[in-house]
Amino acid sequence: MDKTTPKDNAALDALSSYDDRYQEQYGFEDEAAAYEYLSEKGLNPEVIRAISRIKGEPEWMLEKRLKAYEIFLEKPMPAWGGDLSGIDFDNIHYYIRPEKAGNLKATWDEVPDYVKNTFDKLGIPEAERKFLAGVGAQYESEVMYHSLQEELSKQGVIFLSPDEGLKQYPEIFKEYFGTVISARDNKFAALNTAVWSGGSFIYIPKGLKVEMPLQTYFRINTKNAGQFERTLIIADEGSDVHYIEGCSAPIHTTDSLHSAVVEIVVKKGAKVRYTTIQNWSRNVYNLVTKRAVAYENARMEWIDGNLGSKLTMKYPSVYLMGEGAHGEVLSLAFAGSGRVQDTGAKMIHSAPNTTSVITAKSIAKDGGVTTYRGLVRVEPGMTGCRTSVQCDALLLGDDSAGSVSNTYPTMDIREMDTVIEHEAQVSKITDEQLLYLQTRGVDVALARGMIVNGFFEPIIRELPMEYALELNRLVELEMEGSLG
Amino acid sequence: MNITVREQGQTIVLPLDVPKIVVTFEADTSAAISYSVLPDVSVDQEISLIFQGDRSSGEFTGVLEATGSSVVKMRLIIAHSGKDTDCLAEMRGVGSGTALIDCRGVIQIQPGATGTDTLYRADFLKDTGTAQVMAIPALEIHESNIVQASHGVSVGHVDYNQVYYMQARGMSPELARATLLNTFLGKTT
Repeated sequence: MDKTTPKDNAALDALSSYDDRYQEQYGFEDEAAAYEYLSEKGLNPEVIRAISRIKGEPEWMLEKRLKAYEIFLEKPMPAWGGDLSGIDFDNIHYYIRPEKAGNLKATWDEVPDYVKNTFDKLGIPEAERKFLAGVGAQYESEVMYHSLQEELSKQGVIFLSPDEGLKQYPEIFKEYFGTVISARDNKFAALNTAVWSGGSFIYIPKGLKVEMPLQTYFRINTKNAGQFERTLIIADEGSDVHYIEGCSAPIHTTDSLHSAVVEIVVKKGAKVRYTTIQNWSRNVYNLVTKRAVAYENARMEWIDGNLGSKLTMKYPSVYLMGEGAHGEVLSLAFAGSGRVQDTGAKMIHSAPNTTSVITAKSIAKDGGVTTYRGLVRVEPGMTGCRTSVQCDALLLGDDSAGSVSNTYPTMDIREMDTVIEHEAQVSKITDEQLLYLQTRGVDVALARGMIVNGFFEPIIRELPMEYALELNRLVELEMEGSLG
Repeated sequence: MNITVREQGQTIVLPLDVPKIVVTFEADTSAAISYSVLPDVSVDQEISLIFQGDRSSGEFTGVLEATGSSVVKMRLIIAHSGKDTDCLAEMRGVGSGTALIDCRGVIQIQPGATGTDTLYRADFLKDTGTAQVMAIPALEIHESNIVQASHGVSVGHVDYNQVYYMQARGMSPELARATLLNTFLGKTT
């Protein structure tokens, strides 16, 4: 049987070892951080007015924020998903403006040293030099650095922080902001709309294919911090872009809250791929609303890797609004001890002949909890739709640790002329698999690692090579303890 | 209604007029359970298969024919608490007219239910655009030392190519569709 090395108190060792290595690679805290504005803990209209005033926003945005705050107060906490009772909304700094924020820096030399050092340690400037078309770096509530290859800029690509987007392109911003995800959507979308700061604003002109990815890295440094970035991507007709976001935070004893909203508009014949490598520390609640609308013959792909956080609740969705549109979600979740990954996807077929594919892979280990929660809906009259949902889960580690794997897919089909398929499987690494590899000279630890890598391979192969390597490294971090 | 499986090879036909049925398996037992909802019949039922005895084994076969304006609401709970238990549950259904099929199937594996091997499979065809099918399977796995737990669901429509094939061989479209649907449901005409 698969007794996954409970030797030497492996669960405890793995936990402490994981935190040590996370601390070293991602979880370091920058002691030198200095703040221009740190809002008092708790949320009230004055905090919202201060955010809007400091950013120099137009009146309509302040009104939107205040209205969203009322909605946030009205809406109850979700009674489903993970346990949200630990979130103390009165113990969070909702806006943290680092020193020298504002006036976006176009070179790393202009960025304050303590911010630059943080992103240096995370390898962001190096990645930019090697394989990115544009980079954003957000520290606490503000984007501190933004760059875009000059050639792309000349071709009309916009890649800015939303604050700058609102200032420089107010008409485009106002036309799309909040149209894909309104403040009424859910409690955390309302919270984000009330206190949003940072994120990305991207516009890709008609017919332009951006060959290299754009990336933004989000970093929380302060304890009891809230990060509420807002990302708005508009891919005009026939364009093509790949956007990548990464995130990490130090390990604190008190909890932080990350509640982002991502809105994407994929116009006729355009293609957007949005990749997330989520690696928050174990004290971060990660409650994110992500949604795209895809028009005629457009293609939207979410690649969603969730490895960190205390609790993640995230269900990227695609509203297929135009004939021939295609939506795809590749979701990967790894829940180690004490972590809950409640992830999934939503596909709403609101046009005929639309197609969607959801592939979800999860591993729960040493008491972690993974849940796939999804919805596929085909509206009446939307003929010729096809959708396929595949969920696979592995349970690893100490049998007594109480790992949990749940799958809750929902199929709501209101049209006859559709084909819907769903399959899910929960299993463990079998003795036969291990024996097969062992008889070929592979030791048990390496065999387990190979099987886990093979399990995630359909998703990892879709990533750019550098990110695939990074993801493999993160999986290795999570596996540590069971591998040794 | 409570039914206890106490021996090997039992055959059980479930009634339609009981809102809640619980079938409990004792150790070293097995049963084949069948469930059939006939045309134009509306039901709202919850059926639980509880594999509490070690090495118990069950096969469940369900057929749902929702026609006219019938409403078929069916909830199947497959719970494993004994060791080395296995279950194969297969459901097939056809929705036509303005009928509604709301079929939920959940597999629950309790802590300590090691060696569980379980599968829930549900396939539905819609014969009209006005019929509605809701298929909601779920897995709740609280034990890592299992063989496997799987579910699969599909919702589709009668294949036009197959209807055309049968028409080309002299069948009327109505007979062709009826033949295909009956074959799908495992019925012979």
